[in-house]
Amino acid sequence: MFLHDLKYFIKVHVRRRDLLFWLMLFPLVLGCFFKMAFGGLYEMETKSDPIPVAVTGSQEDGIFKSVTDALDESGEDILDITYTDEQTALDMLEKQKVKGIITLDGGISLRVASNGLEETILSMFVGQYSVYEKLVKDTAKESPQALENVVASLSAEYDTVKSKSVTSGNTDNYTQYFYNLIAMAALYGALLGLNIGTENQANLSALGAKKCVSPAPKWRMLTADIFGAYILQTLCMIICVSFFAFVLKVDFGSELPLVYISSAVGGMLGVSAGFAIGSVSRLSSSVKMSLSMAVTMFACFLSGLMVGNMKSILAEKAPWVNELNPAAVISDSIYCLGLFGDHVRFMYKFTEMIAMSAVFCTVGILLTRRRKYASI
Amino acid sequence: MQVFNVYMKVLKKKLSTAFIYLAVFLTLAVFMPSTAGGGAGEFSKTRLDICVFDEDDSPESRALVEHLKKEHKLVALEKDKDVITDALYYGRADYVMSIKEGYGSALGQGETDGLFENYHMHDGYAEAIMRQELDSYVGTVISCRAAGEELTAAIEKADSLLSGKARAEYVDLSGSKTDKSVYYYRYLAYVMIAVVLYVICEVTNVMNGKSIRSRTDCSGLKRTVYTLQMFLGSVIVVTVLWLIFNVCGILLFGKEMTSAQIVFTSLNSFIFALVCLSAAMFISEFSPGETALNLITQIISLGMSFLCGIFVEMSVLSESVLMAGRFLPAYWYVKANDTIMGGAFDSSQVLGYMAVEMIFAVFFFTVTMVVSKVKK
Repeated sequence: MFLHDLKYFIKVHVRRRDLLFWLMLFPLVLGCFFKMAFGGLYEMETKSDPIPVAVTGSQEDGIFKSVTDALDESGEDILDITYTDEQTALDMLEKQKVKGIITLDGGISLRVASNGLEETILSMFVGQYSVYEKLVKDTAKESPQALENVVASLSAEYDTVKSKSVTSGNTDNYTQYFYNLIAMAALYGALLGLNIGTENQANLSALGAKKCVSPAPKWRMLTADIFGAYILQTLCMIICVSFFAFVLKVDFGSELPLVYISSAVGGMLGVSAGFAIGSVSRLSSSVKMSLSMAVTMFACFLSGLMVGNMKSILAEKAPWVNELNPAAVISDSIYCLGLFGDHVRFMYKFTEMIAMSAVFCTVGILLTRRRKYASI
Repeated sequence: MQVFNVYMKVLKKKLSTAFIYLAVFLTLAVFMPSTAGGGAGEFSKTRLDICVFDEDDSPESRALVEHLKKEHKLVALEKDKDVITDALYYGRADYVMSIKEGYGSALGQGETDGLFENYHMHDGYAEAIMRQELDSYVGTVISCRAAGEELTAAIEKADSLLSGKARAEYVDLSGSKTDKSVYYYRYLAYVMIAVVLYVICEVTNVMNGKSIRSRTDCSGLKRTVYTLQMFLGSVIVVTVLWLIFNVCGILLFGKEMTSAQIVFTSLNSFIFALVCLSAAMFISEFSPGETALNLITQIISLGMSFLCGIFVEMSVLSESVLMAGRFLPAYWYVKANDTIMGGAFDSSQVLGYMAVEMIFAVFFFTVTMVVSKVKK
C-alpha cells in the first residue's frame, strides 16, 4: 500500500501543470534570462581597457609627452589619447567618446562629465603629474644639485605590490545569481509540501476528507506523500542543475556531483518547509500558498537573488540571518563548492540543511498527527 | 453600456495585484538610494572600500594607513582566508592588502619592491587605482628623500602633496538626469508590462468566460458595440494606470526635469502603455487559463526586461542580446527614454523610436483582429 500511495502521489502531481511551471519551467526560464543579461558582465567589469581621453592646448608640453611616452614604454596602457582642439574635445565628451579632457596650458587640468572609476584614474593621473611637476620645480629652485636624483626617482618604475590569489575557483560574482536561483527552485518545493499538508486535512480538501475516513494508517499515507514529494523535487533539481551546468554552461567548479547532492537536499528542505506551513490547520489553502510564496521570495531576496551583495550586507549587520535563512544556506553550500572546493564549510551547510529539514518535518508531523474532525 | 459596466465590475475584483505592483514600485522609487557619486556640478573621486592589514605596525606604515584613510573607506575584516574571499566576492571590499613586516625600514633604505601584498580575486579598475596609488605614494616618498628630506618629513610631504581635493572640473552636459529619475522611467516599462498584461487578460478572460459571453452572444447587442465597449474599458484602465505612474513620476522627479523631458517621457510611456494593451488583447484572444497566463506574463515581462536594457543597462549587454532586443517594443521604449534623459536630445530621433513602438501596437491590434475574425 505504501508503494500504491507513493505512485499515486507522483502521478497526480506530475499532471499538475501549475506545479510543473513553478518547480521546473520558471527557474529554467529565469536562468536563461540571467545568462543573457549577466553572461558577459564579469569579463567587461574585470578588464581595464585604456581610458579614452582628449588632450587640448599646447601639444609641445615636454613633461606631459615624456610621462605618456614613459607609460607606453612600461607597457601600462592607461590612456588612449586623442590630441585635438577644444570644440572637438567637448563634442567627444558630450557623445561619451572620451571620459575626460586634459588641457595643457602651462599647467595641466582635467574636465569630466561624470563620476566613476575611469574618471578617478584620470584625476589621479593628472594629480600625480602635477605633484611630479611641483617636485621637479621645487627641487630645481631649492636644491638644484639633487635634481638629477629626483628626476631619476620620479621616472623609475616601481613594483611595490605583490599579488596573492585567494582562490583558484570561479570568481565570477554574477554566478551567485545562479546559486540563488537554485535555492529558489529548491524552496519552491514548498508548493509540493504544502499539498501534503492540505491533502491530508479533511477540512481543507475533499481528498483530505477521503483519506481521513479511510482505514489506512495515517503515518503510512503521510510518509508516502513526503517521499513522493522528495522524489519529484529531486528530479526537478537534477533537471535544473543539469540545464544550468550543461546548457547555460554555468561554472559550478570541479565539484558538480556535490552540487547535485546539495541541490537535492535543498529541495528536501523546501518540501519540508512547505509541509510544515501546509500543516497549520486554521489557514485556508490559498493563504498557505501565498504565505509560502512570499516566504520563499523574501528568503531569496535576503540571500541575494535580487540584490547581489545582500548576503554580504547581512553578514556584516546581522550574520545570524544568513545562518537561519534556508535560501542563504542552500546557495552558500553551492557557493563554497564553486569558489573554494571547501568540504568543511560544505559539510557544515549540508548538516544545517538536514537539520532544518528534520525540524520542519517534525513540526509538520506534530501539527498533523491525531487530528480528528467532529464536523467539516 | 451594459458590457462596459460589467467590465468595470470584474475589474474591481482584479485590481489588488495591480495595487501591489504599484505600491512596491513606488516604495522602491522613493527609497531607492542614488548610486551616482557627488552632487550635480561637482566631481568627486570614487572612494574604494579597502581593507589594510598592517603587519609592520611602524610609524611609517601607520602614516600610510592614515593616508589611505583620507582617500578611501577603510573596512575592517578578520584576517581569515574565507572572510577575505567572501568580502572580495560579494563586493564588501574592493581591495584587500597587507603592509608587509619591515615596510618602514625598507622604505628608509630606498627599497621599493614587494612592500605590499594584495589578496587578489578580480582584475579591473579598482586594482589599477590602488596599484597606481601605492606606487605613486612610494615614488613620491623616495623622490622627496632624493631631494634631501628626512624619512619622516618625506612621508609628511608625500601625504600633503598627494592628498586633498580631486583635481578635476565637472562639466554639466545640459540637463543629463540623476540616476533615480532615469531608473524610474526605465523600470516603469517592466511594471507596465506586468500590470497591464495581468489585469487586462484576467478581466477579458472573465468576460470571455462561458457564463458572461454566452449571455452576451444571445442578446441583441451588436458584435461591434460589444467590441467597442470592451475596448473602451481596456483603454480607460490603461490610461488610468499610466496616469497614476506618470503623475507619481512627475511629483517625484518633475523638479529635476525640463518641460520637454516631461512631455516626451509622458508621451513615450503612454505609447508603451498602448503597446502593452495591444499585446494583452492579443494574448486574451487565446483565453489562457490562470497558470498559462501567469507563465506568459512572467516570461514576457522578465524577458523584455532582461533583453531590452531595463534591468541591465544596454551599454553592458552583448551585441547578440541587443540584436534580439530590437525585435521587442521595450527596446525602443528604453532607447527613447535614455535619449530623452541623456540631456539635450534630438526630438526627431525620439519620435522615430516612438514610431517604432507604435508599429508594434498597430501590428498587435491587426493580428488580434485577424485572429478574432478567424476564430469567429
